[in-house]
Amino acid sequence: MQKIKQILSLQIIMTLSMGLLLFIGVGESYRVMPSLLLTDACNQAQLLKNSIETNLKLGIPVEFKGFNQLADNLAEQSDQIANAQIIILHDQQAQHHDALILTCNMTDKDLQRVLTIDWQGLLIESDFDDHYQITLGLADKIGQVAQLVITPEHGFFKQAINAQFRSVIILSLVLCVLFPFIICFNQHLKIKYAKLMQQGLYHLALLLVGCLIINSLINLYTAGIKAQSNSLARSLEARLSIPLTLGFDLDSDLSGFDELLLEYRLKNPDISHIYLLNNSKISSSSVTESHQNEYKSKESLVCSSLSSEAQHSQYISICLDLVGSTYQIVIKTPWSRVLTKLWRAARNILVLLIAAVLLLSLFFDVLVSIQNTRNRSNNCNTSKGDIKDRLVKEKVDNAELLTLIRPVFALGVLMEAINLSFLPAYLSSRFVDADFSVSSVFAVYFICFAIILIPAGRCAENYSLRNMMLTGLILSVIGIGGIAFIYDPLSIIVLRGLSGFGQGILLIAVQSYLLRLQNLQATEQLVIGFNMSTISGVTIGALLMPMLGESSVFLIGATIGTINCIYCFMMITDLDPVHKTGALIQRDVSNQVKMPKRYKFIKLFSDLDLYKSVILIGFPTKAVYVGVLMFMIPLLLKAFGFDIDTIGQILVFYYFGVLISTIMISKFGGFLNYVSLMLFLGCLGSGLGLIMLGMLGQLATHQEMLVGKSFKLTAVILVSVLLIGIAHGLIHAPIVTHVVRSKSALLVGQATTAATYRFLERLGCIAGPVLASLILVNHDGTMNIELLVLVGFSIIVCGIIFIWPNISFNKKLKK
Amino acid sequence: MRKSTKFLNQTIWLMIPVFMIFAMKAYADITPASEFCQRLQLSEHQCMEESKEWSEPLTLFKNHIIPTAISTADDVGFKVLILSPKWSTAYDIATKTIIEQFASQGLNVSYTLLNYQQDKDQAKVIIDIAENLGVDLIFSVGSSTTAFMFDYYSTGKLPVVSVCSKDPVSLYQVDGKIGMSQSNIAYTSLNIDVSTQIDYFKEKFLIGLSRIAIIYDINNPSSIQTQVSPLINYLEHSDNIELTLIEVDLNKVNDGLAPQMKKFIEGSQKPGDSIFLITGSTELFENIDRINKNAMALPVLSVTPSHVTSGLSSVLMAIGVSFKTNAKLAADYGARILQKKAIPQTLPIGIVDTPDISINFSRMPENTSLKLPFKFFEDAVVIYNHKGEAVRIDGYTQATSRCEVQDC
Repeated sequence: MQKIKQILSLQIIMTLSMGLLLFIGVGESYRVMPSLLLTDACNQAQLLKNSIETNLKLGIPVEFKGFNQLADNLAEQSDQIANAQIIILHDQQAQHHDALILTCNMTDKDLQRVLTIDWQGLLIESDFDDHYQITLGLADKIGQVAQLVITPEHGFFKQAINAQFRSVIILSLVLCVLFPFIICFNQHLKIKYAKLMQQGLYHLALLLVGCLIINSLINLYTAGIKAQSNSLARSLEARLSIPLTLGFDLDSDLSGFDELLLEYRLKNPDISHIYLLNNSKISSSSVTESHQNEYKSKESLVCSSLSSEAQHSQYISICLDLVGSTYQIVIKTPWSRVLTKLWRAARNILVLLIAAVLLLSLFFDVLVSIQNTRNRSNNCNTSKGDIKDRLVKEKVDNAELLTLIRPVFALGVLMEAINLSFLPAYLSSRFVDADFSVSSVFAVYFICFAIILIPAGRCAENYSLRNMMLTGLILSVIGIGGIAFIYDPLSIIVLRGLSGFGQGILLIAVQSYLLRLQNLQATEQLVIGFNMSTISGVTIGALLMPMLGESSVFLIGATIGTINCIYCFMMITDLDPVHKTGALIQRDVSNQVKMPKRYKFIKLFSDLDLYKSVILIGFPTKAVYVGVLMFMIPLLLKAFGFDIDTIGQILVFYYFGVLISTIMISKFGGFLNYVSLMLFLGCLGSGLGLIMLGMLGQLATHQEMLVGKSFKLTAVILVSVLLIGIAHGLIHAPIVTHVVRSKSALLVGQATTAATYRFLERLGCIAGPVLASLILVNHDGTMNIELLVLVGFSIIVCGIIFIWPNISFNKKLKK
Repeated sequence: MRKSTKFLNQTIWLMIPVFMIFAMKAYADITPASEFCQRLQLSEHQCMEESKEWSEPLTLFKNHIIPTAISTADDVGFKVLILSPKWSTAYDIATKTIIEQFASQGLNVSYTLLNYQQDKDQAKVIIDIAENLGVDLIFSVGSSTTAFMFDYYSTGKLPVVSVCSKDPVSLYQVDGKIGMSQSNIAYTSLNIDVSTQIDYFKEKFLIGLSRIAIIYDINNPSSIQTQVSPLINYLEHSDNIELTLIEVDLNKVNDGLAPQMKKFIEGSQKPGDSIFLITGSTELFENIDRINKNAMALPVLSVTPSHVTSGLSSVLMAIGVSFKTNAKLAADYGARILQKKAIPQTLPIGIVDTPDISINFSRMPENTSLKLPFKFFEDAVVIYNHKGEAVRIDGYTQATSRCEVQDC
């Protein structure tokens, strides 16, 4: 029965994770593909429109029956178009009123707003009930006289996507059903590295699905671009054939083909080359600037060689003969255009894959721990162990308690991080004409977060940590869930305040729980959990929002929080306040001096070491994190022309950096013996990262900065952000270790000291954006990024001042 | 008594054929209503003689006026008077286009066609009748009707739209700076804007164009006023194009034309830098063979699409406004006025932005690398091939008499 439960749990987790991957993959295809399909249909419709308009401008009346014949022919020949109709202006009631009207200038975002994903069709073939119409105005020389109404086939947008993804979804479902059996069977074998193998299989399955999704996207985009090129070539063919059928020669009688080809190429920016060949020699051409030197006028170009020659292999080429003549049209689209369209999807899927792997590792560990706990509880009931066994058991218990508590914090952070990428924009739209600014919402959140830290720290010394976690989570759920339904600015501010309280209580409760379990490694676990969850949350939130809308993502956050509450209630055991392990028990109990509470606080607030840690390390770090990373960098990247999701993914590099250094510290406990050195290195790295960002002006030309697409610029930004992340990772956990090792921590308790430090450190979060605005933003709203160099140097100087007495002290000791 | 009765009878019998001969003669000179339907290619039952309310106030049969009503729908919504100074093919094209355009826009209109035979007194009576009978709109067809309307009716009650009329700015009917009549007359122009014309010549056809010689009839003041003067004024400030005026006295063509053209040709420095342009004068066009011969390797262009004809007696290309296009624009103005979407006072002068192009490839100068732009070819309403045979007339391909689009 337990095995079935475990398999079912694994199946649910795999279904959720693969479902998320497929959701993003399908969502990406719904973002890009409809636009390609619409362009293709519009190219065909435009061809008909041009033909009709040319004749209308020649004076042929719009009632001419030949136009309807033309429209019928288009519908008959095209795979995408079910019906084409010419509706004379005063007869517009003939239109299909249930249909959704599309226009050819709709962007992928416009289309995303009107399209819904056909989930049923992705699994089984079904009838489509969508009705779309594309309307194009038909004008003569005077003005519009009619409308060309194109009705695409049912399932116009969905059919190709459904067909492409159906097999991937079915395979994923098979994997979701079968893999947990294999994993459980593997567990039963008790082979070496069983856990690693289980996780490896698990991640392999995800990777396989990710690759299949990317392959599906490549197929879809390639087909889309080919269809575009084909319809374009047919449009050109139709126009160029007219003089030929009337007995004229294009080369000797007419001119202006270069301009014509250029016009076509500019309308279809994916296309790099359009050639008009006469007897296999280039007669006219339009080529993008980057490909100018490929061919010259009058050079030979043989259509049949386009697919075979190496120099053409990097292009998708279309060659079309102009009937009854020696002329041919060649259209080439570089594969790089497919890859560019794919890059964003692949990047999103890759980031999501990492996010899913991070989250799933967590849940996988939890499942294994639950299983092990149950197994052991069965064993304990049946056998009596000796003292050594009990010590080992106690150690294992702590490790498992740690595993069980990690999801509480991870999901708690994730539910909040899920809205990070779009919350400012969402609030801006809600706060139009409101009495409050958007920044006030953030200020209220951070203030509430900060002011709850010390009271929560005090409560953590005496009250149930599980109840505190539940309180924090419930407040967060109310805070985030409420925003999905309430749009009043004041209520939103109150809800964000509740979220701030909730997150603050949760942080302190989990930190205290970890401190009671593991003491010194607690903060690493917090930092790791925070960053893993933030990476996952930001990524998932940013990818889900365009498809589901803000309110739905807020609700998803609230649902995650609710599940977390249930998990916390059922799985977390409340620890006794004196629950400590090994030698720590003795050290903590013997060292903690009994004294009045008031005296403890006076002692705490008069601890110079604490102030030094806050002023030189904690405050600047948090100020840089919120002020530069969260506030300035997105603005800077936006000014450089980066997309919103790219900005989010660049920021994820920061969290990766933090995660890498924190995991390194966690894995190699020896680092903790050099806390001061690590804090200095953190300051140094952070300062260098800021200096690099400040020198962007020197590293990239003004043009590159404006375009924002240069590899050098992107690379420098990525390296800087990653470096700052790694550096902050060297600070986040060790600084708490440093603080709780202080004398005052022995007097007032580690939780209170850590909470007090967290509170003082949070002042940096509040002050960060204000300081960044004052220092880095000019009066006219432009950014003075060069000043980041000075900020970077200041951080390094802070690090030197912090470490200097320690070096002197060490020298004295050596003497 | 009996004799006298007999004589009377004989006289009467003799008079009947004489009277009939006179009556038939008179009838033969007038245009029956049914003929309009024939000319305008409408079904016969649509045309009928107008009611006596129209006929009686006029001097019946004087100058053979016969008001004709044309109704394209049973349910008449608007009454429109189409007033012209004479019957002509150009005016028939305009009338037909207006009827088609209104029908295409779903307007139920009854039309009264009247030709006032350039008798301004009759025209005044017609306008009075129109006012009394509740006519909604008057189309003033032809430059002379529009000039009469400007003089007599620019403060009138009924809205008027001009059609087949020359540029109202050059004729001082509208202040060009204001660009609208500010009266009850909405003007359209048979001339394209001179800047559009130059743009078509220089930007779209001959990039190296630096010299234009305009050939005009010295005895045709209307063409001088509406075509030559605007070009002079426009190119006065141009550094790129030099304008040469070639005046022709049609009474002594041989004397002046050839030397002036020869002199202009001698000034040409490179192919494509010079063109001849002839104004829209029928009398001048009658000398097209002589002009073509003297032009040698330089292209001869015109501002009137009707100057492109079959065979060799044609200009190479004309860029201007056809009667049909102008009438479409006038119909558009008329429809807007009838539907209360616009008032004549504020409608801008109706100038066609995209001119009509007609091409005769047989007039392509020999031994030159001159080619016509593909866009011109696409937009050309009329095309004659290298043999001077029509391959496209009024947008229809002549070989198959079908539209020129694939599978059509």
